[in-house]
Amino acid sequence: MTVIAVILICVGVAFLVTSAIGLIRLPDFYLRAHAVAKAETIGIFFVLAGLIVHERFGTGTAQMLLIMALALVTTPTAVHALADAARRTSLATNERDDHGDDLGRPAEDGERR
Amino acid sequence: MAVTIVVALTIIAPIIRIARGPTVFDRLISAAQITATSVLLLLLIGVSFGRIDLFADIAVTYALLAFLAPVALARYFQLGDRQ
Repeated sequence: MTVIAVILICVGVAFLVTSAIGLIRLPDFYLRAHAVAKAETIGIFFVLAGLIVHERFGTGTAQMLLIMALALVTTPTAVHALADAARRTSLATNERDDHGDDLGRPAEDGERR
Repeated sequence: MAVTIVVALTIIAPIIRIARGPTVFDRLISAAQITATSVLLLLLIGVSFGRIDLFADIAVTYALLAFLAPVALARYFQLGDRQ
Protein backbone atom coordinates (compact mmCIF):
# COMPACT_ATOMS: atom_id res chain seq x y z
CA MET A 1 0.00 0.00 0.00
CA THR A 2 2.78 2.42 0.82
CA VAL A 3 4.47 1.61 -2.49
CA ILE A 4 1.31 2.64 -4.35
CA ALA A 5 1.17 5.83 -2.28
CA VAL A 6 4.78 6.68 -3.03
CA ILE A 7 4.27 6.08 -6.75
CA LEU A 8 1.16 8.27 -6.83
CA ILE A 9 2.84 11.07 -4.90
CA CYS A 10 5.93 10.96 -7.13
CA VAL A 11 3.78 11.19 -10.27
CA GLY A 12 1.92 14.13 -8.75
CA VAL A 13 5.11 15.93 -7.82
CA ALA A 14 6.42 15.37 -11.36
CA PHE A 15 3.33 17.11 -12.72
CA LEU A 16 3.69 19.97 -10.25
CA VAL A 17 7.35 20.50 -11.11
CA THR A 18 6.47 20.42 -14.82
CA SER A 19 3.82 23.07 -14.25
CA ALA A 20 6.29 25.26 -12.37
CA ILE A 21 8.93 24.94 -15.08
CA GLY A 22 6.34 25.66 -17.74
CA LEU A 23 5.22 28.79 -15.91
CA ILE A 24 8.71 30.22 -16.17
CA ARG A 25 9.74 29.05 -19.60
CA LEU A 26 6.64 29.41 -21.81
CA PRO A 27 6.67 32.54 -23.95
CA ASP A 28 3.00 33.48 -23.96
CA PHE A 29 0.28 34.13 -21.40
CA TYR A 30 -2.21 31.65 -22.89
CA LEU A 31 0.41 28.88 -22.86
CA ARG A 32 1.13 29.58 -19.22
CA ALA A 33 -2.60 29.34 -18.56
CA HIS A 34 -2.45 25.84 -20.07
CA ALA A 35 0.42 24.95 -17.75
CA VAL A 36 -1.40 26.12 -14.64
CA ALA A 37 -4.89 24.86 -15.40
CA LYS A 38 -3.98 21.38 -16.59
CA ALA A 39 -0.68 20.27 -15.10
CA GLU A 40 -1.20 21.87 -11.69
CA THR A 41 -4.67 20.39 -11.30
CA ILE A 42 -3.56 16.90 -12.29
CA GLY A 43 -0.56 17.20 -9.97
CA ILE A 44 -2.84 18.13 -7.07
CA PHE A 45 -5.12 15.22 -7.94
CA PHE A 46 -2.33 12.66 -7.90
CA VAL A 47 -0.66 13.93 -4.75
CA LEU A 48 -4.00 13.92 -2.93
CA ALA A 49 -4.73 10.39 -4.16
CA GLY A 50 -1.31 9.31 -2.90
CA LEU A 51 -1.97 10.93 0.48
CA ILE A 52 -5.34 9.20 0.82
CA VAL A 53 -3.73 5.84 0.09
CA HIS A 54 -0.84 6.65 2.44
CA GLU A 55 -3.25 7.35 5.28
CA ARG A 56 -4.92 4.00 4.58
CA PHE A 57 -8.32 5.65 4.04
CA GLY A 58 -8.25 6.77 7.66
CA THR A 59 -9.07 9.99 9.41
CA GLY A 60 -8.70 12.80 6.93
CA THR A 61 -10.04 10.95 3.90
CA ALA A 62 -13.39 12.74 3.64
CA GLN A 63 -11.75 16.15 3.81
CA MET A 64 -9.13 15.13 1.28
CA LEU A 65 -11.78 13.89 -1.13
CA LEU A 66 -13.59 17.19 -0.69
CA ILE A 67 -10.41 19.13 -1.40
CA MET A 68 -9.78 16.99 -4.44
CA ALA A 69 -13.25 17.67 -5.84
CA LEU A 70 -12.95 21.39 -5.07
CA ALA A 71 -9.52 21.74 -6.61
CA LEU A 72 -10.50 19.80 -9.73
CA VAL A 73 -13.46 22.10 -10.28
CA THR A 74 -12.26 25.49 -9.11
CA THR A 75 -8.69 25.74 -10.35
CA PRO A 76 -9.43 25.32 -14.07
CA THR A 77 -12.52 27.52 -13.71
CA ALA A 78 -10.51 30.36 -12.19
CA VAL A 79 -7.80 30.09 -14.85
CA HIS A 80 -10.42 29.97 -17.59
CA ALA A 81 -12.11 33.08 -16.21
CA LEU A 82 -8.77 34.90 -16.25
CA ALA A 83 -7.98 33.79 -19.80
CA ASP A 84 -11.42 34.91 -20.94
CA ALA A 85 -10.92 38.29 -19.30
CA ALA A 86 -7.52 38.55 -21.01
CA ARG A 87 -9.11 37.80 -24.36
CA ARG A 88 -11.71 40.47 -23.82
CA THR A 89 -9.02 43.04 -23.21
CA SER A 90 -7.41 41.98 -26.52
CA LEU A 91 -4.30 40.33 -25.20
CA ALA A 92 -2.54 38.94 -28.26
CA THR A 93 -1.00 35.53 -28.71
CA ASN A 94 2.57 35.22 -29.92
CA GLU A 95 2.78 31.67 -31.16
CA ARG A 96 5.65 31.00 -33.50
CA ASP A 97 3.65 30.59 -36.67
CA ASP A 98 1.26 33.44 -36.01
CA HIS A 99 2.05 35.99 -38.65
CA GLY A 100 0.54 38.87 -36.79
CA ASP A 101 -0.41 42.22 -38.16
CA ASP A 102 -0.12 43.80 -41.62
CA LEU A 103 3.66 43.91 -41.52
CA GLY A 104 3.79 40.23 -40.65
CA ARG A 105 5.20 40.91 -37.21
CA PRO A 106 4.02 38.55 -34.46
CA ALA A 107 2.87 40.02 -31.19
CA GLU A 108 5.15 40.34 -28.22
CA ASP A 109 4.47 38.91 -24.82
CA GLY A 110 1.88 41.16 -23.22
CA GLU A 111 0.98 43.22 -26.25
CA ARG A 112 -2.62 44.17 -26.93
CA ARG A 113 -4.14 44.09 -30.39
CA MET B 1 9.33 14.43 4.19
CA ALA B 2 11.34 15.23 1.12
CA VAL B 3 8.15 15.64 -0.93
CA THR B 4 7.17 18.63 1.20
CA ILE B 5 10.48 20.33 0.47
CA VAL B 6 10.17 19.69 -3.27
CA VAL B 7 6.61 21.04 -3.37
CA ALA B 8 7.70 24.07 -1.35
CA LEU B 9 10.47 24.70 -3.87
CA THR B 10 7.97 24.74 -6.72
CA ILE B 11 6.51 27.92 -5.26
CA ILE B 12 9.58 29.79 -6.45
CA ALA B 13 8.44 29.63 -10.10
CA PRO B 14 5.13 31.49 -9.63
CA ILE B 15 6.92 34.09 -7.52
CA ILE B 16 9.34 34.70 -10.40
CA ARG B 17 6.36 35.01 -12.73
CA ILE B 18 4.68 37.50 -10.40
CA ALA B 19 7.80 39.64 -10.47
CA ARG B 20 8.41 39.29 -14.18
CA GLY B 21 5.05 38.76 -15.91
CA PRO B 22 4.29 41.45 -18.42
CA THR B 23 0.55 41.60 -17.88
CA VAL B 24 -1.54 41.55 -14.75
CA PHE B 25 -3.12 38.27 -15.86
CA ASP B 26 0.22 36.50 -15.52
CA ARG B 27 0.39 37.66 -11.94
CA LEU B 28 -3.16 36.55 -11.22
CA ILE B 29 -2.53 33.09 -12.64
CA SER B 30 0.60 32.78 -10.54
CA ALA B 31 -1.40 33.79 -7.46
CA ALA B 32 -3.96 31.08 -8.24
CA GLN B 33 -1.15 28.56 -8.57
CA ILE B 34 0.41 29.63 -5.28
CA THR B 35 -2.90 29.22 -3.43
CA ALA B 36 -3.50 25.80 -4.96
CA THR B 37 0.01 24.66 -4.07
CA SER B 38 -0.27 25.93 -0.51
CA VAL B 39 -3.42 23.88 0.04
CA LEU B 40 -1.30 20.88 -0.92
CA LEU B 41 1.53 22.02 1.35
CA LEU B 42 -0.86 22.26 4.30
CA LEU B 43 -1.88 18.64 3.82
CA LEU B 44 1.70 17.45 3.39
CA ILE B 45 2.79 19.23 6.58
CA GLY B 46 -0.17 17.66 8.35
CA VAL B 47 0.93 14.22 7.26
CA SER B 48 4.50 14.97 8.32
CA PHE B 49 3.43 16.01 11.79
CA GLY B 50 1.02 13.11 12.11
CA ARG B 51 -1.96 15.33 12.95
CA ILE B 52 -3.74 15.03 9.66
CA ASP B 53 -7.24 15.60 11.05
CA LEU B 54 -6.46 19.16 12.16
CA PHE B 55 -4.66 20.17 8.99
CA ALA B 56 -7.26 18.61 6.71
CA ASP B 57 -9.96 20.90 8.09
CA ILE B 58 -7.75 23.95 7.68
CA ALA B 59 -6.94 22.88 4.12
CA VAL B 60 -10.63 22.51 3.22
CA THR B 61 -11.34 26.02 4.52
CA TYR B 62 -8.46 27.53 2.64
CA ALA B 63 -9.32 25.69 -0.56
CA LEU B 64 -12.81 27.15 -0.40
CA LEU B 65 -11.50 30.67 0.08
CA ALA B 66 -8.70 30.41 -2.48
CA PHE B 67 -11.17 30.16 -5.31
CA LEU B 68 -12.71 33.57 -4.73
CA ALA B 69 -9.91 36.03 -5.51
CA PRO B 70 -9.01 35.08 -9.09
CA VAL B 71 -12.64 34.75 -10.12
CA ALA B 72 -13.56 38.10 -8.56
CA LEU B 73 -10.67 39.84 -10.29
CA ALA B 74 -11.46 38.13 -13.60
CA ARG B 75 -15.03 39.34 -13.28
CA TYR B 76 -13.78 42.88 -12.73
CA PHE B 77 -11.61 42.71 -15.82
CA GLN B 78 -14.43 41.27 -17.88
CA LEU B 79 -16.87 43.99 -16.97
CA GLY B 80 -14.40 46.89 -16.98
CA ASP B 81 -15.39 49.59 -14.55
CA ARG B 82 -19.07 49.07 -15.03
CA GLN B 83 -19.20 46.71 -12.02
